Amino acid sequence: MIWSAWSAWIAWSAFIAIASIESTQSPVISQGPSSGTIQMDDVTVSSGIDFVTTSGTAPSVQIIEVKGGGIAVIDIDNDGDFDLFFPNGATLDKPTQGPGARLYENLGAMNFRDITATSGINHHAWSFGCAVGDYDADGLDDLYITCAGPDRLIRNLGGGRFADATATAGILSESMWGTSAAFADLDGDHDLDLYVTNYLECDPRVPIPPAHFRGLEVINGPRGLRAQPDVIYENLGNGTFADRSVESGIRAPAPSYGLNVAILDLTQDGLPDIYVGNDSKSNFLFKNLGGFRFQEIATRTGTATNIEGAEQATMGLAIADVNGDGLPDILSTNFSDDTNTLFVSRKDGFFDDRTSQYGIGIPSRTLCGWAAEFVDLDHDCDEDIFIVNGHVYPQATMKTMNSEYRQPPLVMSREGERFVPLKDASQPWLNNARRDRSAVFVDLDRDGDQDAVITGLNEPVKVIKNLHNSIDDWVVIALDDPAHPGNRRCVGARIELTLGGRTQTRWIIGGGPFQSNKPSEVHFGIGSPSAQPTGTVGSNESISARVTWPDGRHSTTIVERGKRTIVRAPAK
Amino acid sequence: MLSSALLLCCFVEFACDESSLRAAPHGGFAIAPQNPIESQQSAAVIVIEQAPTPITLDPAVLHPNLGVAAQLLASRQFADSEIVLRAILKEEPRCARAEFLLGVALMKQKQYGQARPLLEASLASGQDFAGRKQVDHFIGWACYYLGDLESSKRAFQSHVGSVATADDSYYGLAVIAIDEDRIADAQLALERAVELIGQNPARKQDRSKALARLGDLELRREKPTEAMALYEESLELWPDHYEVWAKIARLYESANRTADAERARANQQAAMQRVGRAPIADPAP
Repeated sequence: MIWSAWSAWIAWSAFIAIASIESTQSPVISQGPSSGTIQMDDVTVSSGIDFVTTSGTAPSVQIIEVKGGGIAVIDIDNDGDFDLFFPNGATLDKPTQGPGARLYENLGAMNFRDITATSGINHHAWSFGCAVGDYDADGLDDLYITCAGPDRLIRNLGGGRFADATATAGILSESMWGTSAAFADLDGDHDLDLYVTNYLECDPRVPIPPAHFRGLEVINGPRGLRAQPDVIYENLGNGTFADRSVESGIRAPAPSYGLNVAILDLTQDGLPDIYVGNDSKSNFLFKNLGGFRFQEIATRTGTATNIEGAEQATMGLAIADVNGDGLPDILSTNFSDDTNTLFVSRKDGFFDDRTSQYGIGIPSRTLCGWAAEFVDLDHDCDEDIFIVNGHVYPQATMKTMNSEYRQPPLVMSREGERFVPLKDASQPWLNNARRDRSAVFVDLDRDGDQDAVITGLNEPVKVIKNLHNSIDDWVVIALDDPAHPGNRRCVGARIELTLGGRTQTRWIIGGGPFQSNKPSEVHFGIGSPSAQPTGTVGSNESISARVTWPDGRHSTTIVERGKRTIVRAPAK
Repeated sequence: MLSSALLLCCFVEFACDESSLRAAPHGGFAIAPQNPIESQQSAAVIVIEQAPTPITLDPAVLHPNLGVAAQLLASRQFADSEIVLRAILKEEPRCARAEFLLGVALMKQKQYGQARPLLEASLASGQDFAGRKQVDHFIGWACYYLGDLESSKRAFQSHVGSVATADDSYYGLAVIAIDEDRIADAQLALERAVELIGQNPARKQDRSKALARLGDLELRREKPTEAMALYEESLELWPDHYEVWAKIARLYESANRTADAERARANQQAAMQRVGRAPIADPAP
């Protein structure tokens, strides 16, 4: 008895000691832009992107004012760099007459030019999200814009010109509040179908009475307001779509408050599934049954709620292989006083909530998270996490709601098996508190690293350049399947990059960060060969890229360090 | 009748549920949170008991309405208690006990950002007041819910260092260890908490919470069978612990026990209804 008590005391003392030692550990501080450090800089002023988004007026008083607008990453002229499109919002009094969408042409070297006026895009409806895809297989990427009211399909005519093709393409969307959208080949016929998430019934001109939260009068919703159903369109292969929402099975569950969508194979059967992030309600996982039929299986796969059964806000979604097993895992961002959630896939198709294990939860407790992405910012062979934040209630302070209204981004550096918040007072962009909503991550200046573009509520668009300057510690892969022009960029493909015995996996997914899209290429940080001993990751060995094409074929290609490689699909 | 001079506010934390006022071991009153708390949100149960011996307090920082505020806290009228305590502090800004009680009242309303500086100020005052030894406990939870794990850890460690029976601060340390993925440390802390809780068999909910956390640890160790057994034991003690119903439903689901999973989810919903945590209903079609 005495020995037992003494042992317990010793063990407990050790626990306290260990806890104390660990408490002295501090997050990684960037020392410079080389492998293993994250350093970025706000280059908005010099970029030529010079506009302030519109999302109602400040302070927001209605729910429609707090979602902001997304960003489209689109190579409008097939010149190999990514241009930027911003759908932009409007105001409560003039919801269809906002300042209008903006299109910026990438001139290279982080310089952009506003070409909206000459593009033919004259879109002023209150808009939220966008998707990019070559729906008509003419070799040019087109735009889909979700709106408060009927959505719009904008066809790329080439030469920097666009035209509204909504009606001619058969997009007869009801007047709903669209949020995110995604193109993907859902039925294996080599053209791009379309999924659109819708939010709730809302007429901007008719104010919704306020609600109360923590003793304060606040913006009402979404709970208690009428949810709107999502829409799925089948591409008929002739430049038109057919609404398959009912017969496909996606309307089987009751409508929810859809905010996000990601399309990729989550059920390990080779078919692209649809994961939908719903606000304050269970998420949907629509398993692709083939033949344009889907079955909702989120609860059965552990992806509907977090481990405690909480229906979270899911304001952002990101996909990555976090544990290196080759399977896609899911990160969701959520409201303050809650935590972000990481679902890690298992080989049996179930997803475990591993939020605590990977250090995802606590750093997000006081934040209201929106767009999120896994991205290897420092090229150290693992993906970090970038999340933009901002509260929905203008009244939010640490005193009133344990959370500030304006919030800085949360960048979490992957350190071993954990994600650790990046703290660095010397990087102003990292400490700039804003009301951010959407973000995209893309190599804008073709220097091999991933830059960021961020939009907020009535805030200037921010362009954040990655200052990483190594030339040989990255690989970018784009896919091309000329035999199938309808899905030439190969949405649904899986790419495994193997170097030094270690494999990293990426997917060309449909959808992207909140109300935005992912670029149609994948980026890998692979470490610098000079910094790594021979035989380890980053050493000077051959780098193989194994592609699983959307139709299930495989090919393996040797790729070069520090190069963007276009891998072409093998002939059948 | 409890006079303010004889009220000693000390802690017992843990419970996440509780339905109503219950008798405390020494003839005082224990109160549960006004609203049952989500997940780890084990807002404190406050035990207000008669002090075994009178304690000497600085008359300058005493106020006749402190007893009123304490009684309001004990009867779970947290917003009313807050009003009384703010009025006291307006008259007596140096009253550390009022700061402490106001911090507790705010924590009960999930206002951790407001509660933390008040709790810290009550300690920094240097005044000796009833309940002073328990302040660190509340600071620990306030910091936890504000995402400041280091400060939370320090506060809980301070509390267990000064109050040997501080089971809920051991529990708090365990929760932090889980968030930091220090599984062995979490196990040790939970076992200590369970040992201390076991001294009072009536504290079923507290034991249930600790068992559920031990289940979480088994899940982390990839031992779903062991986790399931602990969750089941936890639910036997406290069937309203709706989060554990959700956890066990996931386990059943992943084990292809679909019917059991559906039953567990139904129990989760029923438990949420019972404790007033059901979400706002959807508008009628």
